[in-house]
Amino acid sequence: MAKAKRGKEPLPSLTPIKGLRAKHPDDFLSAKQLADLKDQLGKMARSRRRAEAESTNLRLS
Amino acid sequence: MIEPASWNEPDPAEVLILGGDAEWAELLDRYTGFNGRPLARCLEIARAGGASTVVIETRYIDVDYRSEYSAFYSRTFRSHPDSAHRLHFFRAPLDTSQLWALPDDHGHLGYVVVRPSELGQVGRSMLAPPPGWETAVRTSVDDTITFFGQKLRVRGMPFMQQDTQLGRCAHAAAWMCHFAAYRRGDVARRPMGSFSLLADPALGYGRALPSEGLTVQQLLELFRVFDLPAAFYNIEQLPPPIRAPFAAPDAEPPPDVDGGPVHPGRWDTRTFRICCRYLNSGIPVLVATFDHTFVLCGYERVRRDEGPDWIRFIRHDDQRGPYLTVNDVFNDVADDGYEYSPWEALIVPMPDKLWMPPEPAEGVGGLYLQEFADGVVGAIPEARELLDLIDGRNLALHTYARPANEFKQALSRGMDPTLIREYRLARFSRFVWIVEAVGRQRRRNGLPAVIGEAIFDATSSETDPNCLALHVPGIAWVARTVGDPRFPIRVVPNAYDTGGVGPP
Repeated sequence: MAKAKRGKEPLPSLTPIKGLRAKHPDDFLSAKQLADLKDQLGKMARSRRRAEAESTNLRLS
Repeated sequence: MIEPASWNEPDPAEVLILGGDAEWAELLDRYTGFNGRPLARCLEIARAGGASTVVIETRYIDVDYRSEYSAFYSRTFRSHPDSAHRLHFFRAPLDTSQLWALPDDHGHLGYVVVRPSELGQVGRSMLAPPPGWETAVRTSVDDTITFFGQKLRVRGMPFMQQDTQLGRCAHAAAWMCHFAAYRRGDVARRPMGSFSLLADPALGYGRALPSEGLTVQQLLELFRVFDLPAAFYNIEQLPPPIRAPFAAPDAEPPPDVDGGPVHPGRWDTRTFRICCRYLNSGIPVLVATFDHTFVLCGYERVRRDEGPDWIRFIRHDDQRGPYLTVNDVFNDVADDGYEYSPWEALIVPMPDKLWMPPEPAEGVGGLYLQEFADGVVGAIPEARELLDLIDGRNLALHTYARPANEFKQALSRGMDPTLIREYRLARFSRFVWIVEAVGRQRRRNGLPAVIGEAIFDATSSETDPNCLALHVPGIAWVARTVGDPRFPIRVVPNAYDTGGVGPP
């Protein structure tokens, strides 16, 4: 099938700045920072799940 | 309490002028019961708002009381009226001839439904917050009612007292959160009776009727069934924070007392930040104590001469009334001596598509903002402003969730039009978490204080938050679902107001 003709995008093109490229905010983090961040995120998620599992059975009246 | 035989009189309403203490006391006496504190507090709020007239709508068919009547009061040996009273408060002095055609300056302040029960009088109620508290109460919703053929609107946080038979504090607190969500447009209406009838008895103890309360598990399940799946925080096991390098350290546990650790509900300041992130989003937070529960509906920042600002929360306690202050979370005692401390758990009923919790967003957002500014400052000197605030310990993070549509709609608050255009034309998830970079000094001075933000997809994983946009003074980055991100977007560096609910 022939490719449909596309309209013009509503956003203007941006002027590149020499030396500044970023596909993702992670590009501004060092490898160590990134590894630490992933580790902390994992710990936080595990801790939250454990707290839910061990919650006390309070009765609220 | 008025005798059942005369409960529906006069037809259709009674007008009382509330001139002074005697008239207010007489109004309270009409509905005296075993616990009159919630009603007394409602009247106090109406009086603080300047009420000079109350119109008592008799034989008011209230959906919530009717549901309680069907589920419980219709089944008791003793007869109970099947209708409620609805008390409307007005600033303007009114007379009976004006009820069907109110003057333009009526000054409606809200309403209180009164059940024909001495055990728990206050039913569905919606009162405007006391003067000066409008921005501190962050979970207010608009409620439109019909008053003898005329539409009236009140903005506030819904309140209800338990009736002590069918519903207890947990039912009342859950109803308050749910009715607020209904008025936000997030869920369908559920009458009060359903909060008892649909609680899963297999997750509780003892008999469901008369109710002896709900367990935390029952509450969580109830919110799931009612389309508001709740986040849960055990105060004794709060998750370890992900900290931006510049964030102030958390409080350390105090030394053991009597050979045991001090309960974190008496010292862990993370509790404040957890609650504030949801309140900034307009979402109420249900707090569980050892045997009771109440709803946080706002907070205000209290300046202190020494040390960081203090947070004074505002709560609805079904046993004490609406809009009450929490002066000290760690030593939380009611005027009547009831000890709320230590808080045991936080339950936050949220819109379904708000999947990611706020903590990962704030932790990652803080780090991104700092490293982004650091990475671009060579080419974009304006980004130095954010780094200088960090160096001077003057940068705070302010986190909240909004529906993306509302976030985009409310961007005209001092933000550069270029950035508004980029955000409005960007593809965002239904809800987004926003982590704002806030200048503390500008905030203290009451000036627009936001200088940048990180925006996250609320449907992304808590272990891999998906950043949708990042902005620091002078430059922004916006993700696209197709192709390369929009970068570098040059923007005018300026400070603007927060997009969250209430002051930052």
